[in-house]
Amino acid sequence: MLLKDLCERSGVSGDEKEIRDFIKSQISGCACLEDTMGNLLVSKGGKGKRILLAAHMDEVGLMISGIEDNGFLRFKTVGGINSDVLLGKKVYIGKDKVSGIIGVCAVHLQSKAQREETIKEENMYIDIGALDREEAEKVVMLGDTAVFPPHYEEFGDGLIDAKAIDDRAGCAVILRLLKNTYPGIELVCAFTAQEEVGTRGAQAAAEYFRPDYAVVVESTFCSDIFPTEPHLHVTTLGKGPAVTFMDRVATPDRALISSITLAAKENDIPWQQKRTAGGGTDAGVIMRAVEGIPTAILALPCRNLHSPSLVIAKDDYESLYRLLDVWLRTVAPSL
Amino acid sequence: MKSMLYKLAMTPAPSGSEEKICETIISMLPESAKWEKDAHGTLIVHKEGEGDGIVILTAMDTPCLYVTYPEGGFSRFSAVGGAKPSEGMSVVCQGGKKGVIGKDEKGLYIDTGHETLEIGQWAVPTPSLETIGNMCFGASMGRYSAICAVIRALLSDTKKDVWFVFATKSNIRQLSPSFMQKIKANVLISVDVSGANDAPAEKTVFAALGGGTALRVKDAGMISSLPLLEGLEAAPYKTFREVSILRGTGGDVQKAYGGIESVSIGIPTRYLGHANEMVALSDIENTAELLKYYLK
Ligand SMILES: [Zn+2]
Repeated sequence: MLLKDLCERSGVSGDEKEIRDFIKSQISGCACLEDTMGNLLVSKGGKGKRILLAAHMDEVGLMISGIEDNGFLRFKTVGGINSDVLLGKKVYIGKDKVSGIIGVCAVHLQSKAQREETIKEENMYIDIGALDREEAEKVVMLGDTAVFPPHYEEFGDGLIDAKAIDDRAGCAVILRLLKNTYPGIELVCAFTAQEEVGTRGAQAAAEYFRPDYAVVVESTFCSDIFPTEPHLHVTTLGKGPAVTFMDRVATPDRALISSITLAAKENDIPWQQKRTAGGGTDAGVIMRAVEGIPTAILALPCRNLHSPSLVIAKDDYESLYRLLDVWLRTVAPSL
Repeated sequence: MKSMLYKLAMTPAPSGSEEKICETIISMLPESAKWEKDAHGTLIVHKEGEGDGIVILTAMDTPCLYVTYPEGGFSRFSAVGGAKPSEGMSVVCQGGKKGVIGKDEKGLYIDTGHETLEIGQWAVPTPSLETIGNMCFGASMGRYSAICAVIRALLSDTKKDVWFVFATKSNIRQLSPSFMQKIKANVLISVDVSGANDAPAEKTVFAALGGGTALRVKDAGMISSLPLLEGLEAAPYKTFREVSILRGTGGDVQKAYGGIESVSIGIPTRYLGHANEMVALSDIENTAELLKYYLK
């Protein structure tokens, strides 16, 4: 299953080879280019306005930053991970997927002050069971990246729990769209690298393609959980893909957004508005590339963003695909 | 000048929705003016002349609120671009609806009475302009003053080749410097809003209203070219040096497309981002004259 396969691959920002190779293996009949930033740039071809669909393939994770004499590993987070979610978690390190556990000084030995504050990443370590530094160095190198355990599970009322849904779900949607033909437009797609460390890949991708329009296909915050107040939920699971009116780095093009939401209304596809001006995506650099590219953001509501277990609704995922499909087919040719 | 400032100050200019203020500025241009808008809504006015090009840059957007969660006549919002909403502040919303900021235990909201707002609609502090002698105040008056000074310079005679640029989305840090691709220039003067620190309890006042134009040696976005700054300092107008912690408009442009020699200047402003900002009319005049002098 495509989404499962994508989520289970590794691809911490800057170390996207494994996921990039897998995505490439899923594409046929298109021109593919791996650029120096690590993006995978795909041209479907066609005649008409050039439409760029972009999703980032990198995921948040860890990087090994030190190996102690006693064999324990120090690490730094890559991308925005709250240290609260790290403790006790299993991780897989490097190409060989060496397994380790994130630990901290035993609770019994901590002072009261230490127990009360959140544990900082510099006070945690990864235990790979090595006896000493020498043994650890046989399997792990400084700079190796580490990911959370690959998993994909469907549960509850049509929900999916997996690693790295942000933004493999966006990649999956684009891969599915690439299998179709869309007359009247030139479809180009970017699976971008290094989004989670500051949307670094997307700028190069936009400059390379110089599209007429761009749609960023993302995963976004959903905090529709107790005890969050309803006005802080941002999005609601199961209510359809979310459209962004403004975030920290981008003000999407109003006309482009309207063309998408109108397509949703006419085809009875659920959608919702993202209810904050916070957050950021690749759209920030894409809309400012070249001389300015009208850009929209469509995002899947996702609980526990940037954690080992992300949760989306299957219906939202399907609606996102259907909405983009119908928009590319019926609206995009006349933009 | 007051009527120009009034017309500007009465036009809402929320970051990300600058169409209206852009129209107002265009309406103030001479019929013969050569202008264009880029994909970001940036207004570029070119006065062709002799010598190397000069860019006079200001932003035309102001801090604002965006509705995120309407519940009947009450709407929660995101404050963007340095907006400092407070309980009791009156606002004007997209579509002309009026409201007042209210507060409950969960935070602030816009109260629009029987009217409702939609997600993504903007609101700004109610536009106004009051004058007290040399002082004037109203919503986002610092920004409107900077725009006013730039338009005054634009309307004056110059033989030099000048590009007047009114940028968008500056307050929300989404200003796009791509307009520089259309421009041939080697000097940039960024006209910004500077914070005044002349409140009664201040011990050392270095930026007072009425003190003239701030020459920003450094702000949070750029370091000015010293020769350029010294040139303005030598002009027969009131200036003072400032090291600003604010982010100006120039920083995003200075390093774009090979870089451009830049200086940031500012109009001292009290109460930045709050319901009313106060400036001195003489500082606007002084800034306009300083620009005109430079362009002569
Ligand atoms: Zn993402």
